[in-house]
Amino acid sequence: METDAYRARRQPCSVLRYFLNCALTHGTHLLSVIIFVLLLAIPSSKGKCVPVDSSILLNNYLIAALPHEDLARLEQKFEKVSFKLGDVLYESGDMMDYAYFPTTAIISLLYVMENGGTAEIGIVGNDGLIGVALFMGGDTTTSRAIIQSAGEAVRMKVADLKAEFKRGEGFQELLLRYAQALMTQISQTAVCNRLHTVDQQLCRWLLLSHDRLETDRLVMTHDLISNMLGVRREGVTVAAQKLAKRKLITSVRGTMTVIDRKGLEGAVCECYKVVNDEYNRLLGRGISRTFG
Amino acid sequence: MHDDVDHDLSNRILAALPSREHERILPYLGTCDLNFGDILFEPDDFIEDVYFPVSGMVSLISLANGHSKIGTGMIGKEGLVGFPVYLGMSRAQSSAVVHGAGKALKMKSVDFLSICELGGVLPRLLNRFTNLFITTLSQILICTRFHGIEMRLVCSLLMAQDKLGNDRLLIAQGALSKVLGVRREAVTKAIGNLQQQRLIDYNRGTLEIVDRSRLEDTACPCYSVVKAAEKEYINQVA
Repeated sequence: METDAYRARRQPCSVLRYFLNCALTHGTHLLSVIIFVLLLAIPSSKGKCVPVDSSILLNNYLIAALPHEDLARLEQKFEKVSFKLGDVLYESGDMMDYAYFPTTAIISLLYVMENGGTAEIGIVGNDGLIGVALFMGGDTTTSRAIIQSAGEAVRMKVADLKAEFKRGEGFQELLLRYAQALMTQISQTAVCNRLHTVDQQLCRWLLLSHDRLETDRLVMTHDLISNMLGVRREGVTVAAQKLAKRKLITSVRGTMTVIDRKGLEGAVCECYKVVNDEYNRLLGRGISRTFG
Repeated sequence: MHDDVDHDLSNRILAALPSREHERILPYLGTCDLNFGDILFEPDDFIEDVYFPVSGMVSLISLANGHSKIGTGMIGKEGLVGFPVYLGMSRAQSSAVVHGAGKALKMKSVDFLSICELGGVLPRLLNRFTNLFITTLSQILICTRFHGIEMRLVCSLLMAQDKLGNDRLLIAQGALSKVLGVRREAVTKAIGNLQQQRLIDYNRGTLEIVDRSRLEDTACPCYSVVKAAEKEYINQVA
């Protein structure tokens, strides 16, 4: 309920509609209703310079989990950006200007070795943000952030992020908990890399991506997956063929489609659930399409 | 107890606290011995105490399939064992095992949290330590992915030696196999190879680093990345 009221406050149209409905059904207090709507419209006309619609902000679960007062204060500091598959947000070692909160895009954090070899340390979708190092006292990233699935994100200037973090309270707590969740994801990926088969790793990767997507289709070449999993492309192709043979996915020319989610969950190692539990704890809501 | 005052300054985090904050935290700290093989907590345990090592080293070991293990970090006097408490995590996700005997100052997690909530320099130090831990963890991940057991063993030995400041590491092969997430036989073989090259000497649970500079040459680039990150952290907190 609270959330609905909150959204309504930020969407003058729906408020207007609500009061018009009231006026039509009850036929009274029309004048006071109009005055009320006008009063609402005054602050919301300021809202026109707000670069992002708040309903978009709420698509990022981390932002949506913020206390209302924090969100109200912060919402004007966000702006929307969209990304294509393969866009690089940051190279490792870059100075960061913005922290990114994906709303529909999925971003892969790749750790880059001196010889250019890469492996994914984490997947960040609408459950998180890019820029943990920033509020943890670093100015540069230690990993490459690359768009793994095209879509949108909202971003906030580094100075604003740091200032908010310093205020303490809700935003800080949430970001610290996110740092912990990311750490869990990295540790679990390390465990998975060491102990599980490429098939299982691909399953984990597919499920984590699927949870962060609105569709069943992942536009993704085996080459890119191989960079992320840090295994040879041939290894990815063989693993994908096996999953396709078991009718869990289809894999056609740069697109993988999840056709049997349950089956994938049966084939994945426990690493998926560990990471997932941690995000559930962080956000107090499910990201997984299954575990909820 | 009078030892404590000397001890606590050996821990980088405690040493970096301004005197006011230092005085605030001191009454909550008690000394404890870190004996080789002690388990400070296991996965899913409530982290009841946090430990500021002043000497020695604690390995964090993650579990998979309930038994296979792999090291995801080492914490010595530069840090804090149990720092996830600060990040809002009350339960352990890995086990913390003492792999280098020493001493630590420990305090109740609840007290620790209430001191963190007072703000000041402590939270900032913890942020920086977390950042260092994430960098190291990422490097361990990539090292595990791309490098052979021998390189990884060298990397771990160098890291352990840096933390302990001692050429002689008391460590069993079984412990190394957990840290590296490989079978014991593979560790024995890698140790044998390094021994043959006269880089280390291993005898009944005591591993001695004979030629540190040549050992560094054999290490993978991961070691220098971790070392640089650690140096940066130490400069930041100094």
